[in-house]
Amino acid sequence: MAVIETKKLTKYYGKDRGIIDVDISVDEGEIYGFIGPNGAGKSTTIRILLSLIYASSGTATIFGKDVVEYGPEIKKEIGYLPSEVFYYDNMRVKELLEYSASFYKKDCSKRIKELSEIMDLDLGKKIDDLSYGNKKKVGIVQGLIHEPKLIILDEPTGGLDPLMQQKFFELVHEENRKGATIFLSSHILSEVQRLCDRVAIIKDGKIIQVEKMSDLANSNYSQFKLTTTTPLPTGYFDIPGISDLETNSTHASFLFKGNINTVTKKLAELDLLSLFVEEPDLEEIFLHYYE
Amino acid sequence: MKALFWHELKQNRRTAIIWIISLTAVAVLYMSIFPAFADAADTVSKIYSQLPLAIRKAFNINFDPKFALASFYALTLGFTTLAAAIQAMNLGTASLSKEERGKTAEFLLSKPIKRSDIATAKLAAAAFVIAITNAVFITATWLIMTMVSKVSLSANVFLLMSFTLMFVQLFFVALGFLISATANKIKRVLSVSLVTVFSFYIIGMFDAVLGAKTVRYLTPFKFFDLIYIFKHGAYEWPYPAIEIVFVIAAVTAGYYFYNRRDISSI
Repeated sequence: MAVIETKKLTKYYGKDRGIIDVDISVDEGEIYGFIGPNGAGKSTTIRILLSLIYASSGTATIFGKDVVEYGPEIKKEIGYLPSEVFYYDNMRVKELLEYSASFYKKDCSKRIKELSEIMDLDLGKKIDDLSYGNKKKVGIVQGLIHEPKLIILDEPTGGLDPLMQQKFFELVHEENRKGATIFLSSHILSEVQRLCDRVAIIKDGKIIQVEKMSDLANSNYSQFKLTTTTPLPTGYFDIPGISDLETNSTHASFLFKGNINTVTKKLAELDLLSLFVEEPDLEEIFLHYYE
Repeated sequence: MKALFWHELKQNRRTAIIWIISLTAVAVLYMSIFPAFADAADTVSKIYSQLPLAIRKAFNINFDPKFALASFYALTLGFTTLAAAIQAMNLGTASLSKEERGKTAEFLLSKPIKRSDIATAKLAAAAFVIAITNAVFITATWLIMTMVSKVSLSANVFLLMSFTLMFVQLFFVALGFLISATANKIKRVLSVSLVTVFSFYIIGMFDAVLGAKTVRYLTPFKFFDLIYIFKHGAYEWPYPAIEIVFVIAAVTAGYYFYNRRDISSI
């Protein structure tokens, strides 16, 4: 059964586009990435899932239940980390975490201790005195204290130093191993690349692609960069399979997908000064989608 | 819900204490000058009593010492009610909107709690603050009154007069709650409160233009005529009913809109 399922989910803010016909289906136990540039509709989708806002049309279910009708019930099993964390400034970290725990009918004191040790969080400090990164840590702990079955992370690593990011990813992996489903939105590809099993790409409010991470990485794209001794004839690389072509007299770079021999044959006719053939990173593949 | 209620009280604690102390202190201070007023009234009434009956009949001034005390207390209630209305309007307007302004709405609403339960807990906390305010205010004014005046008002009249402050407060809590539940982003609670409360107060001054009767239906500041209460030992129909209907309607509408509204994002 899908943990998260949306069908033709659409949201308009007045006349402004939020998201249009978003269909996603997140399976139990997977780490699902949701990637797109700022303003593409990632947060809108998440906010609908949490019934902070209501969809204009379409449906969204979590654990098979409608997110609006069964909102409070569903949220018992959701841990949510917003992209920007804000808490009651005059509270201490411990008070906030206990307040947060009070909404779940569970004893979370052990988890609070455990998680704050992992995240190196000082429980006695006032929220107001925390740095942005430390507030984020409070957010992470707060989102995980009740051992949720679904963890929703909206741009989770902003503000965390690399060491903390590492710890955070380990934590997420650990929760995943224990059976939690993870839904992670991000505009940072390496983050998604590292964590996710599948990824949905959203652009201008619409899902443009859903792929398995492994398929994306092995998509047979090759990145060519070359320099020649003599200027390249115009239109020399006008062959099928080439994209993102950039040339200026003696330089050329492009992405290629297809039978590699067609390119090497063309290259053999050139007097090359240098040649790099690399596996493109996801960034380049995504830029390809974004265009 | 219980946790939210206590959390809310804790958050409101400091402001509530300041309001309670200030309101009570102003009332107590003002009432403490009553002896001077009573003495003057005494002197005047002695002179007055020596005037011929015909003239006394023509003036028809009431020199009952109880009436003097009631009028003086009515005066005190008059301006403390205005301040208390601001306190109440602040409480109502801040209740739901402060989560969005403080950007904590995402935290609170991602918890397993119904929006209506959030609203209930916050309303209950506001009502609690109002109740404490009035309990302190009424106790303190009663004490000072027994200290400064030789005569005293009957408990019934005193309480009926004093409760008008709470009724005005409840009106503004309900109105503030409705605004809090519907408006998408309230930047400054105090500006909203001041404008609203003073608007209602000023409406009350337009009785010459709007007609004294019309005005009494329009603003809670005119629902209760304190001198009438003193004279009759009762509230004047139908104004308490208007108050109750308004409070129920505003709160119900508040719930309705809050349940259906998009929570504004960061």
